[in-house]
Amino acid sequence: MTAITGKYDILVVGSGHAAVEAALAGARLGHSVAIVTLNPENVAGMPCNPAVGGPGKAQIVSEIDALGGEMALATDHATIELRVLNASKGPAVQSLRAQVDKKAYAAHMKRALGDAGVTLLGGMVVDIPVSSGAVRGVVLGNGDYIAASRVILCTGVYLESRIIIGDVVKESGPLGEPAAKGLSDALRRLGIALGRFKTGTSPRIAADSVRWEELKKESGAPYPLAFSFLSKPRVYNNDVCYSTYTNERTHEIIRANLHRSPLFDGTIRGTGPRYCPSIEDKVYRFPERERHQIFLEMEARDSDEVYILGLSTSLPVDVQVEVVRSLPGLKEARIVKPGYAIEYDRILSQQLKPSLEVVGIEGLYSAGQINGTSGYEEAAAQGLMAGINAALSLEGKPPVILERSQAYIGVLIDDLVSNVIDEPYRMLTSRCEYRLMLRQQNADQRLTPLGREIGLVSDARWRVFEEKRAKLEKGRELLGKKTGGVEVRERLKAPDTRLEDFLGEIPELALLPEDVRAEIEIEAKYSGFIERQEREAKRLQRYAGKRIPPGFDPSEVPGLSREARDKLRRYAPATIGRALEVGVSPQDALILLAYMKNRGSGGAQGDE
Amino acid sequence: MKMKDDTIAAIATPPGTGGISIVRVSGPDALKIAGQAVRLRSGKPLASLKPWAARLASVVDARGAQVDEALVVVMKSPRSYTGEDVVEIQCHGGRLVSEKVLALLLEAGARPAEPGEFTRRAFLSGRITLEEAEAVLELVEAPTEYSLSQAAKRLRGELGQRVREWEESLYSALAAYQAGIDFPEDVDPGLERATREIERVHREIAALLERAPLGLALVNGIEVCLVGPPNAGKSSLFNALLSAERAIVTEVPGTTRDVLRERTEWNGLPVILLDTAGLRETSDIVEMIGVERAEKAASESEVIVYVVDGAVGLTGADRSWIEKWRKEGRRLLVVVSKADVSPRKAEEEELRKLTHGSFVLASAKTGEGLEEIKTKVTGWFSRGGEMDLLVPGSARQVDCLRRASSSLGEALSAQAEGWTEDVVVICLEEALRALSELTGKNVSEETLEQIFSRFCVGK
Ligand SMILES: Nc1nc2c(ncn2[C@@H]2O[C@H](COP(=O)(O)OP(=O)(O)OP(=O)(O)O)[C@@H](O)[C@H]2O)c(=O)[nH]1
Ligand SMILES: [Mg+2]
Repeated sequence: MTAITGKYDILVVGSGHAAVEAALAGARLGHSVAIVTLNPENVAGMPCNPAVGGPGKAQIVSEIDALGGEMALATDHATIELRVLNASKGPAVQSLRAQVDKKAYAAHMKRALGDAGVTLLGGMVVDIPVSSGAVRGVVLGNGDYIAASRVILCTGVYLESRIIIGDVVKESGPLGEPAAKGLSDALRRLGIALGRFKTGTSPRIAADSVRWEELKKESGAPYPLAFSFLSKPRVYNNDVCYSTYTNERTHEIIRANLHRSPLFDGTIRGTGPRYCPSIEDKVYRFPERERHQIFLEMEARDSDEVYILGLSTSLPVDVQVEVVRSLPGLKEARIVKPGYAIEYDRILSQQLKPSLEVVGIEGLYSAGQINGTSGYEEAAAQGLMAGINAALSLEGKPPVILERSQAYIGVLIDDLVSNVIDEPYRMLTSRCEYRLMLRQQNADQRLTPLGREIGLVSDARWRVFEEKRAKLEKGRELLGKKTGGVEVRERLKAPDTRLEDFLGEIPELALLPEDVRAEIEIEAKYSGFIERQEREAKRLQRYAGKRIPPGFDPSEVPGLSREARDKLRRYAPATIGRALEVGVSPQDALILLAYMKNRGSGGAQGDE
Repeated sequence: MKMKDDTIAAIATPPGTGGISIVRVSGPDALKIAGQAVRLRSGKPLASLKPWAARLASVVDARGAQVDEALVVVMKSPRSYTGEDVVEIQCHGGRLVSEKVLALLLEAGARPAEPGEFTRRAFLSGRITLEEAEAVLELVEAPTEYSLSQAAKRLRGELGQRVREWEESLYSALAAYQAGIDFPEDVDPGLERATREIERVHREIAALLERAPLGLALVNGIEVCLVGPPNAGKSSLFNALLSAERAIVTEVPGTTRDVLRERTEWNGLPVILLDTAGLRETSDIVEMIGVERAEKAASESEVIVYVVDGAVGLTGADRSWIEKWRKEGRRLLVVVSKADVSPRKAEEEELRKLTHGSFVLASAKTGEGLEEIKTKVTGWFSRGGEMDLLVPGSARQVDCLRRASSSLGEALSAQAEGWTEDVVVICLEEALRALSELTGKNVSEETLEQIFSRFCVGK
């Protein structure tokens, strides 16, 4: 065997959004952590649009923040424009979206890694030695062997990736980075099944080639906002986003060149996401639409590159030029980087435990796009959880598994490990059945205590949390006061009554900070609906949601069939419902239920 | 602490399956616990009973008062259903009484059994095969993935087709809302059309529910209203039919003033029994209100039981009330009371004509005729076309539709009252989840499917 050239507690492969959160969590929990990546200069990059948040994703960012992750802080540091989406559609779905300076974002993350003591190593991982069912480290392309008992794969879209632009196909990662070669084969040798996904991005154009005056300016919110519960809210409004529409000519050009699209000529076989269709796909599938909206986003405040949101394409470059120039304001636009489709290998996520550990290989975790998700936020959330769980397992502690009724992150991971994911998975509010409980604004109240318990919540964050919690309690108490003989709490249940209406009568309410007032108002106004969701969550947990304790050993259960034991060991299902899905027979599930009932309440914890 | 070998108790017969309900106790202390609530007629202790022999016993409460008469069967470990010591108490007084019996057993130290726990114990002790365990569990466990897919298979025919059609309309309405929420910059979702669809489906489900009276009765209970002249013995019958001293009984005419309502169960059907003030002209203001309420209760209930005072005989007032309700086509049963003291055989001919044979001679004192009353009333609901709805699962189907309908109503009023869209969406999802218990679909997946096929969204 090759000589050991390094030894860490946790080794993170990759340096994207999942990798960064995983490494930070591991290091902040006191373990030695190294990142191995193809290009150590490229940390937390944004090869797609330079934005964080949006419906469903913003909730994830706030949850990461509440647990003690970094994404929200980095976003606040790098934001150049910030707006609220769905402001009028209700608290369950209201979401922040920030346009960020991607260089500032990456710089923040690099600094954070340095501060946390994470080592950054350059290299291509080509093998993952495993012995006695446990991971031992990684082997690099140059033969170096780095030892680690916990390895977290966060390779994004780099696994055997190829970039496709028209009829040009090239083995490459995004934006000219090299592809990761060899690791896919290593994973297959370990018995891990892989699939292939496809995604794409839009062309970038030179900022000085745009006639801005012909476009509509989009503004940020005129009032102060922030992603992190630790940041001071600010107004971010910097003339960095403009919008326009495609037109009949654009569509004609695309239709005339469809035969040259790799999507239509069979070159691309990977499955693309439905929610991120290329412009050629949109024109083809919705022929009746006369126009599609396009946004032009600066990649930094004084960026010389502009991202065209809504124009994802893999048409040949000459067609891209024509398409771009058919748009208002872009008649003389110069494409700096063409749009492209990218195909890559991903792990079939049903092979993961809810802790994000790979079933059957102790210590090997995976997080981010390698698991079939899309989006920086989804990746970061998985990285955080994988980092936490790797660290906890080093300490011999059980993993943290968030429930669907506890966090969007719980929904994300549960969907990944329980379902067959057949397109890149993006978080949407409609995936979350308890969205009225899981608001972006109450993420801190939901998760900060858990983050504190894990050990990622700093004293400063804990103080902020406790202060807010005390004020919330005070506010809830004040809502018990009566005006006109009726408790304010009750009066707020009328949809058109606002908390502000009572500030005169109950002046103490006016002393509470605005975010606290907004929270207690939502709690009171929507209490009927929130309680219903809570009841539903409890009801579901009683049945299929019944949890199988982590670390459960099927050989302890008398009477289980051998087949069931194998399946329970292989898939480590988190719930009885999931056990049935992976093919454990109802009879065996029954035995399991009876066993758990007898043991679970049998006083193993001495909880008489 | 719940141990493997603690003693559990539960009503073992599913609601709505018959007149007798079985309360089962299983575990090492089964005999001891049951012995506190059950007194054998013979006066001997329970433990002396020969296994598997049924004996008559009274079930008594802590003060020694009789709650019910029951058949008791003792089964000794390991020769029992669960393999443990088991006592089965077969109650005759219907669901309510069996619930009381269960409460007594719990008081005496049993733990309420979880759904399916008897079966699990039976299985673990090797008493029943896996297949048997499964079949039983399917009956007792609430919706699981498995039972959902089974339910979906059962949902056939016209109802199935209509439910699927409603579901489709609702999914497209939900997708319209949700597309606007998840892709706020992309779409004009066309919410007005969505609202019209919701309204239509809501109307249609409500109409179907109206045409399913038994289905609804199975869920809500059949209202049976006792009316008649003062002192006829209505309250006495009320108590006797409930096997409980619920209403005040005196020899003074005009005792009952307000309408009394009690839930009970006759032949497996849920019944809500109503006792009312005696019908007569009166100047007593309180009684007058009582009489008005009695008439109203009778006119709104599904069954009218008109009580003729057996000690007085058929009066002119009786005749005109009976005529009136018969003409209105109401389900009407005439009961001649106090059959123990004054059997009014002489009037039987006239009664037969007046009521087209729908009458019963009864006594609250001796219990004569009570079973006949129950059988006649429930007979209306298990004859002919209405019988169809009694197939297993129909109560659940009606319940799902009813929940769907009420969630849709809420979605519509939330929208009309100006609630935010997230609330409308949540109500819609609830409606679809209720329907999904009939069709087995996954709400979140279906919605996404609809969003992406109908709207051009995403960047
Ligand atoms: N012998 C005999 N007496 C009965 C029977 N049913 C009722 N009575 C007597 O009849 C009297 C009136 O009984 P209630 O049950 O109060 O009659 P009611 O119709 O509820 O009377 P109001 O509430 O005053 O309208 C009481 O004295 C009862 O004891 C019966 O089946 N047999
Ligand atoms: Mg009375």
